[in-house]
Amino acid sequence: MTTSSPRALQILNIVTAVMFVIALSLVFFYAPREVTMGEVQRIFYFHVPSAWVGGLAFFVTLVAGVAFLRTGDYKWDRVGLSSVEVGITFSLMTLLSGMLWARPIWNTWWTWDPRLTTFTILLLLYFAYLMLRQGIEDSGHRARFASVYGIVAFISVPITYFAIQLARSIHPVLFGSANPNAKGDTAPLAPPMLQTFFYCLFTFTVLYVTLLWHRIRLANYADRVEQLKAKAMSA
Amino acid sequence: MLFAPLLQTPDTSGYMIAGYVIFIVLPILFIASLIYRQRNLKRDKETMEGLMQDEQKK
Repeated sequence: MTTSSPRALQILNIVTAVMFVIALSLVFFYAPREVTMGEVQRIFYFHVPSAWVGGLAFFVTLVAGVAFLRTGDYKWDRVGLSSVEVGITFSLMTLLSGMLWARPIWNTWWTWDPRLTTFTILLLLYFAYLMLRQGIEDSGHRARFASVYGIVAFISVPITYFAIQLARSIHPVLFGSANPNAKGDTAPLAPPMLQTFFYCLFTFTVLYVTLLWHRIRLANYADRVEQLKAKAMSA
Repeated sequence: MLFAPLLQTPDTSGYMIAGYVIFIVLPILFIASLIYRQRNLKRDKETMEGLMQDEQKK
């Protein structure tokens, strides 16, 4: 029962840290300053990747939920739980950074825009996932419930994504505005801005993999300690 | 004044700095929570192993 990280994870830790520092350097020294919004526009380079990672994490929870219901293997329950925790962390980053961007640009910290409203509901749904899990004692029942919940809750992710394209919204639309009423269309990004954005997107995906791996290892360790407790109690 | 720039870029650097503090602090807090929980589990494991050893000695 070792807690030391495998070599691949140790390498991934270093790679992620280096990539993160490069991403920060690109954001501050390579991407030009946006003329209309000023420096606060730089939040975009980490805000959108955080939102992407949140969606990806909740998709992984959906896949893990399906895998658990099909196989009954508890490792999928641990993957689902771990991914929700990482997803919530990134979604909180998205929400808070969005508020900081909105204050000087929209002149308000918060508005009940379709994107912001659906995103808040999404975040609350996944907080509820963690809280409801805590309330179920039986591990089999808990894992089945969490799997079904993780699958159903994922519906909130595409609703949040398409909210700005389908409804009247002031949130900026980065890719493909289908709604002529949308107010938040953005000007095309300059090449250095696009390069920085895609690099940050990749970096955040790697950061997600690293954090998820660590969280799954913790969940596996917790499971082994639980088994040891059960063994000690029965002895 | 006739040729003065029509658009002046606002100073929003304070909000940007606050945003990047969040981007750095939240992952650090998450990692800290992983370390804290792992430490607690390790302590639990050592306690259980100690109990089991005591039981075996009896």
